[in-house]
Amino acid sequence: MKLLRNPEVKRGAAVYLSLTAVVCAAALLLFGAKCGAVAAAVCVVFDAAALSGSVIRFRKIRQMCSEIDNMLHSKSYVELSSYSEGELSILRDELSKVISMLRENADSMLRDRQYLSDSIADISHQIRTPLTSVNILLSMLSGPDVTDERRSELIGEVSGQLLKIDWLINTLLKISKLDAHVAVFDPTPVGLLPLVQKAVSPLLISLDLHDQKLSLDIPGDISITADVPWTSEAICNIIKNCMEHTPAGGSIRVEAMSTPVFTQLTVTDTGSGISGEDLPHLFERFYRGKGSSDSSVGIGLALARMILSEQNATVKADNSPEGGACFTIKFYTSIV
Amino acid sequence: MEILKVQELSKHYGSGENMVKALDGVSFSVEKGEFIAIIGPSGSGKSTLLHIIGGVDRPTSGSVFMNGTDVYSQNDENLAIFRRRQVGLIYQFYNLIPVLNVVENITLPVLLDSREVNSQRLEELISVLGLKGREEHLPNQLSGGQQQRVSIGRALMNSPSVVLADEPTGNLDSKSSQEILSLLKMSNEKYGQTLIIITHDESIALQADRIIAIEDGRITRDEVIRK
Repeated sequence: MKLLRNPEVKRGAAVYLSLTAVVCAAALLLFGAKCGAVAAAVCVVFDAAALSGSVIRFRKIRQMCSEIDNMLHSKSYVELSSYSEGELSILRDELSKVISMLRENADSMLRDRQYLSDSIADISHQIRTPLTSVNILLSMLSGPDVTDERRSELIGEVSGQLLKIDWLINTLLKISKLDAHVAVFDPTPVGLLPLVQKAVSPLLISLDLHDQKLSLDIPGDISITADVPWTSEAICNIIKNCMEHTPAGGSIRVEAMSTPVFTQLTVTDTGSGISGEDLPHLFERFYRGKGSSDSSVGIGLALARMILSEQNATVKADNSPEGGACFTIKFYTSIV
Repeated sequence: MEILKVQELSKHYGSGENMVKALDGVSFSVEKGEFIAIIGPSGSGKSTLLHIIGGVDRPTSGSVFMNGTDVYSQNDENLAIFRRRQVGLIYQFYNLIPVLNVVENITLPVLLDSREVNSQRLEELISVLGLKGREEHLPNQLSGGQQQRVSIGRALMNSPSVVLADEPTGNLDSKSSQEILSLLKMSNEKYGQTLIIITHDESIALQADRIIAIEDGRITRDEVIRK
């Protein structure tokens, strides 16, 4: 009998049998053969009843074993949780919690791996494009009859492409730091106006070149608690994106307001706005909208959002009623 | 991994002309580890929805699947066990047992199951919730924020599949509200605890991963605001 290989059942059976033997012998010796027979019959019935309880319990355990075995060897998932009283039900339930945790971990590891391999593919693609241009430019440069004028033109283009690769690698490094949560943020109280002024300073020349007007409507008394270099980079990327989609002669407006719960910064441009198709994907890494230029790689806005969400801030994109794009950044006051 | 699925849930009160549709065909599903805020005006059916998800109140029609099990296919007795093991509930007015102290209130779900309390887990929860030194206090010896922290401990003690919170900060000042919310968020991030909270407060809703808006018993908006 399979049941008897369980030591606790074996021990119990031995106790029962020896007790039965003692009782029967005692009844036989003290009260005669008839009484001994009755005692033996009663004992057999009780033993059987006790044994059947064990049989049922062990059958349930064996069933659970085979369910778990199935889960172990096939990808299928059997629901184990059960809602009745008793230790066996609690055991099932606890097992079910452990299994669901393991499954979730396995799922998230798979997602992470997929994400990593996608990112690497994207990054190598982005770096290969300017590298190919550099290669072509170099082969043109090494040609036999290149005039001095043409040579300096080509060298200019090569250095332009190299600058682009440099920027790309720097930005990707920042993104990977944020990804791995190793970027160091040093939140300090800072006036919003000086922060935005710092953020737009690298863009001023380009604004001038494109004859675009930038207006800052930020009350001087608004301040936020944020890391200055990272946050100004995020704001810079958002305004830069607006610039790229605003025609020459257009304008970009930056406004701010403050409530007890959050400080809000809105950036509105007079460009063509964001198409409904692009809106949900705007902040995705390497997503390039339909209207984006050839040189765009689609990481500026992704980086901006990563920086902001790391600091308990959110950014949303929408179209303004006038038709241009409108970005809303909210810095939450509470540190939650 | 889908942990909760709500299908065509309806709850009607009264009949004929007086019939009130508290919920009217609500469907959505929740992934493990999500943090969801349910918003809507009062009387929109938010609390009814939460109670039905938590196995407290039976729906008129529709079904709730938690971890693949059809919650309402069970009888009342098993439903009570389901609540005890799979659901953590947090109410606006804490609903602590007044004659039990902090530790007894927190360990109640485990004791009801006649199980051993995992002392390591209890100690960790008490220190995370900032209740060290108050283990022996009765609820009426604690502030509102502290009482709510005890009820969070009670909800988390059993590592339930979902924690449901009905206006958990509705009765608290802004400082305690922040504490409570940061604790809930921490349990969501650290333990991967699935969290559904009802709130009136936009600033709280905006900190969730996903916002579901309900009006007149129907979902009017279901928006993922961060991943």
